[in-house]
Amino acid sequence: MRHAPIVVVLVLAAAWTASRGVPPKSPAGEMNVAEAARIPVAYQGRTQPLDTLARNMLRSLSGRQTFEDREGNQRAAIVWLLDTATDFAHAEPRAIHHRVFRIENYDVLTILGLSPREGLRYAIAEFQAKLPEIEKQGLEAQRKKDAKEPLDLVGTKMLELYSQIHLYSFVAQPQFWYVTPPRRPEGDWVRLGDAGTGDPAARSFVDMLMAYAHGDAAEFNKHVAAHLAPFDAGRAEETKKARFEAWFNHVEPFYVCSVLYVFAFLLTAIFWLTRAAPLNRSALALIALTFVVHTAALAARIHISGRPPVTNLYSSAVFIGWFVVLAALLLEPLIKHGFGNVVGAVAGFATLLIAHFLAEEGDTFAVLQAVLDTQFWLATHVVCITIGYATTYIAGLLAIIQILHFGLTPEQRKTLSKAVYGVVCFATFFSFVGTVLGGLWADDSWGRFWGWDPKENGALMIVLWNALVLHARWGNMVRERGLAMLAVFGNIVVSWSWFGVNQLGVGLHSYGFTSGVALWLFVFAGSQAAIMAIGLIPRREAA
Amino acid sequence: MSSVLRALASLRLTVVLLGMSIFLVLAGTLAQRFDGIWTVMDGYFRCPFAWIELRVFFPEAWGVGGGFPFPGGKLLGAALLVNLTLAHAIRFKVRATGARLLGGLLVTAAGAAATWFVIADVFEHDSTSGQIDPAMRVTLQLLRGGGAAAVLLLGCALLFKKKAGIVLLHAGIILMMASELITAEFAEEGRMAIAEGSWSNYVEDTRSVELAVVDPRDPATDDVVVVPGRLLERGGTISHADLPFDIVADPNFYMRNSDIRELGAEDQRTATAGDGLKLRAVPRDPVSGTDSSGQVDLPSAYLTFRGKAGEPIGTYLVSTILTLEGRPQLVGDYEVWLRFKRTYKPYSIHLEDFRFDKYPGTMTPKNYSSDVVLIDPERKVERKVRIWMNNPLRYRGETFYQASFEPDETGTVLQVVENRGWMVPYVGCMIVGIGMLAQFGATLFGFLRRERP
Repeated sequence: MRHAPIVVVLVLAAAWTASRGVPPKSPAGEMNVAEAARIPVAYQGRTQPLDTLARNMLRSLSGRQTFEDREGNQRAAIVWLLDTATDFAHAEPRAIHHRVFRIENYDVLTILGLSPREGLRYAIAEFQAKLPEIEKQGLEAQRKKDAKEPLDLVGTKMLELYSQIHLYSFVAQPQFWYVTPPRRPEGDWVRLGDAGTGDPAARSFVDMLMAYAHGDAAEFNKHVAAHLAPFDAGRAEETKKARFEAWFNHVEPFYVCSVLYVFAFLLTAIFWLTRAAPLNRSALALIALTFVVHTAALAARIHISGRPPVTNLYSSAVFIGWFVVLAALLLEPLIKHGFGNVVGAVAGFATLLIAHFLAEEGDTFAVLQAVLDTQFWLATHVVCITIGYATTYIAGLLAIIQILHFGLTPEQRKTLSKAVYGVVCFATFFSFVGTVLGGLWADDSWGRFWGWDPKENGALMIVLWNALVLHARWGNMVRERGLAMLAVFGNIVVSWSWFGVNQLGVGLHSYGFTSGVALWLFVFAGSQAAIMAIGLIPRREAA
Repeated sequence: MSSVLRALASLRLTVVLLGMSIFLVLAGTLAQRFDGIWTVMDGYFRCPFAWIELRVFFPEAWGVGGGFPFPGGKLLGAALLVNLTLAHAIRFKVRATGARLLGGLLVTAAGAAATWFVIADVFEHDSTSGQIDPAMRVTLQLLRGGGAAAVLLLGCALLFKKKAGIVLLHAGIILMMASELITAEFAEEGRMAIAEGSWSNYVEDTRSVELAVVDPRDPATDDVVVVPGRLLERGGTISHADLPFDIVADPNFYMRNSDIRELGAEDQRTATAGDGLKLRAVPRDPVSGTDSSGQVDLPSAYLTFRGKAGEPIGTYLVSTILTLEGRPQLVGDYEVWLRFKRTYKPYSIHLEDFRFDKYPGTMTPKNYSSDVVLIDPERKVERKVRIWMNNPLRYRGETFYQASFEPDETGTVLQVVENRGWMVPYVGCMIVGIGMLAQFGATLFGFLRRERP
């Protein structure tokens, strides 16, 4: 009976997670688009299922992985891809009426003669007449950008729209898709348009598209099967991976995790209000279960990419979240009272949310620049420095609890403070080793151990900050409260290194440029400063 | 006296210095939006005093002016070193006596010797990379450092007992800071550009230029006199017995970075002879540090030449851009080139093939590699080597890295670095890392023991 809440929570969460894992299936007699989604293609140097291509393209245009058709139904990205690719075969095209362009800037909307509507998503048919204008302004903005001339917001947004239309026209012209696999082991994939009608893979792909255009379900399913059969036979490894990736896309494990982290947080919050211990135990159990899903998803990404876990900003967010949750699971039994649970749930959710927004940049598995392409350094330097980020955040989160939770007993506050100190020690170790390994990679790549490059400097600042915190405490310059405030400032330092330096322009390390991040960074820094200010408020026991 | 020493050794000073260092690093990072990495390095980090411009903290459009002085990287580094050394001298007492003291000293000495051996040993070997797996190579280098660090830890444990970790990690920090100082002073960096089927035996330093005056009359050898670029930048009359003429340089007509344009009808004509009659040089902003295109500053200058007797010859436009196009200026019988500073080597590198692989259907580079032949007549060496990303060639104290390539992919650009202390960070990293593990590990175990009675 004592374990009843835990059992209920775990069974519910596990059942929901498992239900997401059921592979999608189209009803018999209808077109099996779910199977077509598993067809391997090459895009930007990587073999991937059509499903990934569809989702990434749609996400780049609309910020979502599904779209709403004219009847208001939510449809899968693959349907949009196939609709758009076969529009040319229709006397009355339908994909041009799918509202998939997200246009948020009012000036751009005015230029296009559109009026704001809920969701701000528009179909290309609605602004087709303005395409020459978009091209003109887009090219002008590109010229300014190349010449490093100042570019206003409308220009930036026009350029964005212009490149989105490029993506759209790529989807609308399947002759440019790399559909035919290389004939020799070292060869390249061939575009549909270059393959010639004699090529069996090109043949079956075109037949499939035509059947789709004609709405002939039986023919479509036959050609999909015919297209996949030689892949399954001749390129089994790759095809299996593409099928797996399509399934992985369907499950959306990181979405599952973020939902579960929210519930875990709620359970802990209610525990804090009611002091009902079973709730806290359930939260811990739920976080442990979610961690299993998170770990499996991370492992799946490693399997799909064939790379160590962190290769770009997106995967760094996923990995930081994973590591914080792991640490939180170890911390909770030590410091108790739900502190570890809150850290894990909040960090898990926040990092996956960040990852969700970063995914709009395109393929999250994108291939690597030559200099970054070494498994050894990715597995050592990058993992180490990312753990350095994660541990610094853990200290910062524990410190936030210490400052914002006014109901703490002196005993609890002391425990938290000790935990902050211990975690900062770990953070110093990992950020130091990670930073130095980065220098060694630089030495090994171009003979310069330390080049004062912005990203290197960002990492160095984390090391120096953690060292400062430790020395301030050893010298008794700060006690519990001061230590907490310094640890909260550590959040700003890490965020600067993680995202800030990328805003300075394109350096060797800025593999993840993201627009609009600067503003969020300021907001975050402001919030942390506010928390530090709250830490200054005197408390009764402090005397 | 002792109170001054105590203050210099205090943790309070450590915290202040660390805070100032963080601020300096931040300013030096932001400054790279405006200035080249080398300018920032010299103006912020590798100097005793820095001048921090206020504009670095604000958006460029605001046009904030002014600045303030601040301790530079060298001063802060030196202060941290003094603080650290004094702290150890005053607060960290040797806890061992008798046989333990002797043993501790012996083991520490052995560790120091091992450290030195690991750092110095690499001078003796010319590793041709690619012979072993890169991951293996780096791991081995780290393991050698780790071995020395382990011996040192044992010595420190005998001498300092509980404080062993902290002593060791600080020793490692001192080693690494010293290494950065030595690198700043002594490391040489340059590049070697070679076209396919061709060879080169000199390294160019793209951060400084020189004016080469070549006497081409002897068909067998060229007689070359070189004028350092800083003399041209400083201005004044340059005259030397080896020079066939005097050179008058005007600092107002020296451009650290420039562009060459056609000379229009309305443009001011500065030159009186040579290419300057048809072309003009215009100044450009120096390449900024956050610019990733790998561009370098391309200086140009207008120089006036006079005969030894003072008779005028003419004012010429000399430019590294013209030099890159293979266009010398003819001053009398002499060819004059403004070129990147060259250092000649006793061996040559011949490029057989340069390869640039992209991921299919993209412009994303997958790999660059250069197949070269290294020929050293002095040491009777002739061997084939492949240099590619993350796989440099180390030879005679210098390391050759695949850095860049000619736009049409028919030639390679190798980065050439001479840094005798390149192994120090490998060792330093392991020493600090092991020291931290020892120190924090002890803290953690103490914490866990108390929490679980």
